[in-house]
Amino acid sequence: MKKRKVFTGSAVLLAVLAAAGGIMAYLGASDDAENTVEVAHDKIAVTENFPKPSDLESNANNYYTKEVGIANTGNVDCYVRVYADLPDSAAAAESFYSADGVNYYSAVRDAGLSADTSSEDNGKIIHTQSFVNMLNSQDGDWIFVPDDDSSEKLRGYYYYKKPVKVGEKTADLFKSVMIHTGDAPEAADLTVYAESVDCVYEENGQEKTYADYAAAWNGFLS
Amino acid sequence: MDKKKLIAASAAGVMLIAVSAAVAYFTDSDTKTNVFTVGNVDLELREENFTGGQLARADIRLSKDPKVKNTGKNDEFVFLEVKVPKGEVTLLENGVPAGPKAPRELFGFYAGSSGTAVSGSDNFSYRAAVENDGWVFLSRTESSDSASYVFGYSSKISPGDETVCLFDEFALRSFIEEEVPGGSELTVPVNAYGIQADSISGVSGLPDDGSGLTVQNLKDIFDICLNKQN
Repeated sequence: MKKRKVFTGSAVLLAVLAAAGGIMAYLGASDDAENTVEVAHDKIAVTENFPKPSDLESNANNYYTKEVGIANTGNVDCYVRVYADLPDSAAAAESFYSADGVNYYSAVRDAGLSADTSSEDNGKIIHTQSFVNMLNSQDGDWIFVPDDDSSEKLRGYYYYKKPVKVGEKTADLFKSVMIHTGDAPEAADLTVYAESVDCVYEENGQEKTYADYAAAWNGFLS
Repeated sequence: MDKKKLIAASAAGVMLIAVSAAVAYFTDSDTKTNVFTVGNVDLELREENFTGGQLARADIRLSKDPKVKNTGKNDEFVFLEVKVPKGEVTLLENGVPAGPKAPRELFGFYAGSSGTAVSGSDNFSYRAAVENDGWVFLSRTESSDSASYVFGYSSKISPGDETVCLFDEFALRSFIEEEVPGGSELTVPVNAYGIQADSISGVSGLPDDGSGLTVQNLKDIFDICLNKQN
C-alpha cells in the first residue's frame, strides 16, 4: 500500500517536471488572420421577353413583342451599351421599334430622319422619325451615339446612361417591333449585342469612379 | 551498520508505522494553490485598416497593414508569414501580356515610397529595417497553389509595443479576365509568431540587447519558434 503511494507520488512529480520542462523550454505565441477578398467582375445578360414569333403575313404590319433589357449579373456596378440592328438594310427600312408598345419609330439609323409624321394603325402610332432620333430627343435612360458622332469609339451603340447596380437591370430598350411586309415577305434578323464596363477604374493604384457613361466607355476603349 | 545506527533505523521504522496507523484512523485534508509567475509570451496580429470581403480589382490597392503587438509580459522576437495564392494566369503590363500563361502569385504588396522589394520578386515590397526598426526578409517558399514569405522583426519587442506594419496595401495583379473566375474568393493568410527574447540558446552571435538582428539570427530563432509550434 505504501509502495503504491510512493509510486503515485513519483508519477505526479514526473508529470509536474515534464510540464515545467515544457514551459522552461521556450515561451511562444502565435496569431493568424484569414484575409479574404472577392475577385470583381462585371457580367451582364441580355434579358429578352420574345415569344416565339408567328410567320410574317404579307402586306401587313406584323407586331412582335420583344422586350430587351440588360441585367447586371456580376458583383460590381457597371455601365452597359447595346448594339441592335437589322443587318439587312431593306428589312430595316420596313421595320419599326417601339419603346412603349404604342409608338413605333423607324429602325433606320439615319440622322436625316428627324422630322416626324405619324399614322395610326389599330391603336398603334407609326412614326416616320428614326427610333434613334426619337430616343436622343428625349431625356430618357437610353441614348444613341450616331455614326457621325465625334466620339468615334462610341458610335453605333445604344448607351444606358445610369450605372446598373448589382442584381438590377436596365429599363427596356425596346418593348416591341413592327415589320411591314409586301407581297413576298422574307425573314428578318434583328441582332442584339450588349457590353458592360465597370463603373470603377484604377488610377495610380487608387480606385476612381467614372463621371458618367461617356467617360466610362471612352476610358475603357482608349 | 553499527549498533547505534541500527537502533535509530529501527526507531524510524516504528515511527513510520505509527504515523501510517494514525493516518489510517484520523483523516484530514488541505489544499493550497501555489501560483508561480513564470512569464508570459503573447501577441496580437493587427490589421487595423483591412476589411474582409472587399472586391479585388486589378491594380487597385486595398489597405492591409499587418503588424504585431506584444500583448504578453516578456520581450519577444516576432515573425510574420504571408501566404500569397497563385493561379494559372497571363499577367498583363499596360494591358498587354507580359509573358506566357503560367502559375503566378495573384497579388502584389506595397509599402509606400520607402518600401523595399523582396530580392528577386516583382510583386512584394515591405518595410525593411532602418536603424533596427523594421522587417528582415528571411525566406520565400513555394507550393503549387501559394508562395509563402517569412519576415522577422529586426529587434525584440517589449510588452505593450508593436512593430511597424510589414506593408500598407495589396492589390490583385492584372491578368486576362476570367483566368481566375470573377466572384472567386481568394484568401491571403497572415500568421504571426512570437517567442521569448530572453535566454534563447543555440543562436550564435545574438546581440545582447536583442536589436540589430541579422538574417541568420532571425532564421535560427524562427526555426526554434517553428519547432515549438510543431
